[in-house]
Amino acid sequence: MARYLIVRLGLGLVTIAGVVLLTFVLQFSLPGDPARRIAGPRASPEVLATVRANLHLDDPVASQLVTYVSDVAQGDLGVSYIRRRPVIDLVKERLPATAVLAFGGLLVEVLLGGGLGLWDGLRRRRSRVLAAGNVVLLSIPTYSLGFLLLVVFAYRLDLLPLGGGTSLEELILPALTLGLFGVPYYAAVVSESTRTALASPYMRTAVAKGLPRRVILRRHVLRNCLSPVITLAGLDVAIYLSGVVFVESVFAWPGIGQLQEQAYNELDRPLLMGTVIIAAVVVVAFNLIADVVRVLVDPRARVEEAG
Amino acid sequence: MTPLLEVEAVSVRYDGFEAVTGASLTVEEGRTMAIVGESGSGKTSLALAVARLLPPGGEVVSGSVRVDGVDVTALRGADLRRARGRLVGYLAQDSMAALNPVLPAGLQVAEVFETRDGTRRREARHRAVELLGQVGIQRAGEVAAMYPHELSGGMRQRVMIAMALALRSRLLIADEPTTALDVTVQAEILALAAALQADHGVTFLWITHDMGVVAEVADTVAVMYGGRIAEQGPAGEVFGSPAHPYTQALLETVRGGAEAPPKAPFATIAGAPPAGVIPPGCPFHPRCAHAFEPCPEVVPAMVDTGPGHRAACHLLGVGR
Amino acid sequence: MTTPIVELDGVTKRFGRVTAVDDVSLALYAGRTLGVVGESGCGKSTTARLIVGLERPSAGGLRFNGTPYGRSGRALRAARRAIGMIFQDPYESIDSRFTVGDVVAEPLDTNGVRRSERAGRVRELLDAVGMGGIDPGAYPAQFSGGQRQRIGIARALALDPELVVCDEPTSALDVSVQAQILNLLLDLQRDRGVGLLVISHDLHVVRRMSDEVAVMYAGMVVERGPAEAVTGAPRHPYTQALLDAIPGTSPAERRLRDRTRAAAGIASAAAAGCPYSTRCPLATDVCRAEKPPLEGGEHRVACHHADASAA
Repeated sequence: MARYLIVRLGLGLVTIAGVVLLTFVLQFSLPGDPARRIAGPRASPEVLATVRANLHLDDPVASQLVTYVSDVAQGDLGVSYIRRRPVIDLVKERLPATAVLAFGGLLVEVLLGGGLGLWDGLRRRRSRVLAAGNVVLLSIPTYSLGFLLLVVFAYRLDLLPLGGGTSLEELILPALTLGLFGVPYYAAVVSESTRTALASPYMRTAVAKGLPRRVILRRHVLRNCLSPVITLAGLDVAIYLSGVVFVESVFAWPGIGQLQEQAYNELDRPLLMGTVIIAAVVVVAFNLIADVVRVLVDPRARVEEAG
Repeated sequence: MTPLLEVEAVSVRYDGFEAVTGASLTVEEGRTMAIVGESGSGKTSLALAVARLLPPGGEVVSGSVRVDGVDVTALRGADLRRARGRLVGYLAQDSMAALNPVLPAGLQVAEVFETRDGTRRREARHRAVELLGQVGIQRAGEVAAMYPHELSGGMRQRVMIAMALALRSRLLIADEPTTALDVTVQAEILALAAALQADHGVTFLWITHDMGVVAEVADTVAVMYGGRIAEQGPAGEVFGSPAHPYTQALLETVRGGAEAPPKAPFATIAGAPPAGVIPPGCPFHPRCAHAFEPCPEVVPAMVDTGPGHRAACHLLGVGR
Repeated sequence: MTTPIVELDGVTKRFGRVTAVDDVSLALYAGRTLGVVGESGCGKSTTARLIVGLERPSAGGLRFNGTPYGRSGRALRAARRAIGMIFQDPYESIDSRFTVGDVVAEPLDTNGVRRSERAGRVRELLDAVGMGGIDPGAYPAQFSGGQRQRIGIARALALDPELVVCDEPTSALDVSVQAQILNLLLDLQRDRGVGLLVISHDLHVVRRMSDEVAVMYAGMVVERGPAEAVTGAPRHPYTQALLDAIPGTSPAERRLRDRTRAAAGIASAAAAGCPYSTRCPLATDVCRAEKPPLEGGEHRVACHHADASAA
């Protein structure tokens, strides 16, 4: 187990290093001269030269890479061109809002998707209504779904606010948009696990023991659905926490995704690179966490992973 | 003495296919009846019918099953649930699959006490560990916390037996519980079953394909072929003077082997057991060395050949 | 003495930290059968896979007609052509998407047998396994387990092997069908003079089929000798235990019911000594400290207390 974790951690660090390297390379493909962005359009050549020297822009690429990597390793993601503040501070400010949205979305997909999946899995035949609903949800782009919900519930019915803040009322629509998108996956996974559990020989043992239906459901069905749900949820939390650009932008949700979108539009190179690196770290971290939890929940995984 | 298990003219069907046809047998309390058969003989379907565990699509279409005087086939809903395990317990062949992989072994025994007897959790755990010790598991406390995949096949089968003891099943169906085990472990489990029968008076319906296991465990034997019982009677009678050509041939493959010189040919039965379509008339006739005119056309009736010993073969009618 | 077809000399196979086969030496001869018995996990199947070249040894050497193989290209290919293998499960080991003819001809195709000879060869092979009447264009799905095993045997015979390795050839089959397959193997050996390696957990089968028997435990050969000697007068307590565990042949000869109630514990590995010492009723301090070597003339045994159980 410990060895497995160390290997996974190592792989995670390699992934992050890869992302750092990639962002470093990609920054050269972004349009615009960083020195001019900072110094302004009317800056004199002398000022520009000073800024260039401060940013080490004239150093050889190799030495720039060393500086960049050592900065990132120390948690220094640079200073935003536009906002003139450290990127890391900007991200920290936005993190709570993104976390709230992420867990809101997760709650929707786990409860709604899991519930529908369980209902479907316990039926003799799969529900056609659910299958059709899943296809519809899967084929609507997140962007359109967000607008649809916004138009119907906020604009037409005027039941919920249009967004722009982080109140509970304002959370409902973006969380729903995020969660609805994941519902088909959770419904499918839980339905399948339920069917597998119900058809398994250990279910026959449980029935033969004369266990009450609620014990069979809770202990022998739901327990066996946990492992795939945790894997899915781990991935989702990671993706959501790293900022869901579309949803945050549709609902003007002040999270990391919105920050990233702004950085992109403003060609704010350090901010864009910073949010990408943070996203990589979050994804790696939550995958690792999901793995650990899954191993704790499913004793079989312990053997597989150790081997 | 009234029998604990009475199966009367039971037929089992899976959408369109008849797996068991008109099977009747009885088992006295505290005794073991072995049902021997090959694949497609209907032995497992009959066992599942008795345990009310037939998979969806399978049903008892005629006949009755009585356990301790209760008509098991008529039980529904809550009555059925309460009767499960108490009347009939079930030991499966594949103990790895039959135990829930994500729950500790001890819990799977303890939950019987918790849900069936309303025992408190701590007390239930304690009694589960006690039972694990009773079925010959050393360091039972430690084993109770282990998961099925961490246990050997023999240990898992002991956990299954402990479960049956927790349920205090009147009738225990042993569906090839030793087939997947090594011979030395099989010997241990057979000895354990015999000891439990002596101590607790457990009644067994033991399903197997292995005449050696039958010889070890059975008081009475029913030989099944093609969904029908071909022969049944006291074990000594069936082994000593087998009446059905199929039983004779099966025994030949076992006993002929014990004294034969190395590299001498094995006694064989031609062909293979029916899969899917069961031949008309006597189901064994295509493979039978003694088949004659009526065999392919008429299903032979059960004929008494001795005290409690019956067989279904046209040859038996010819002689009298 | 003639050169063995295949000889194993101190072969060891490790998978990570697990030693599956531990210093095993065996020899297989034309026209003769070596039976290997042991329980699950004893290393008998890995031994079979080493012999047919599906695994490479971690230590020790294999020789095919005197030439080392097991690692290098040409010798290994020659050995593979000359060694056929029959698997336990005739459902898994035969691909249902191919016709029976294609399954049987597979070794012919990969070894460049001419197209014009192929059909005739397939007929011959199917004939040899008692399936002469069937259409080679049929698919395996329509055949029973016993018939599928015959098809598997025909495939193993395709390149006229000198040795056929049979890994539990009948344990997936119905009782009434097993004898047919064993008789077929006996016939093939008599008619073609092939050497056989029969691996089985069933001592009955091994005794009837073999000239020589090797008993394996925890990756080691613990006893080896003429079939009748090993099964009739075992010298190792483990062999004795295996024989004692065989069920009787009639209710009058029950052998297992009255055994003392054996307990099952969490398996603990023997650190240095004899691997059987953790289960052996005869184990003493020397057994737990020293691994006994396989010793003796024709009938060898690896036990500090050899022959004690026979007394």
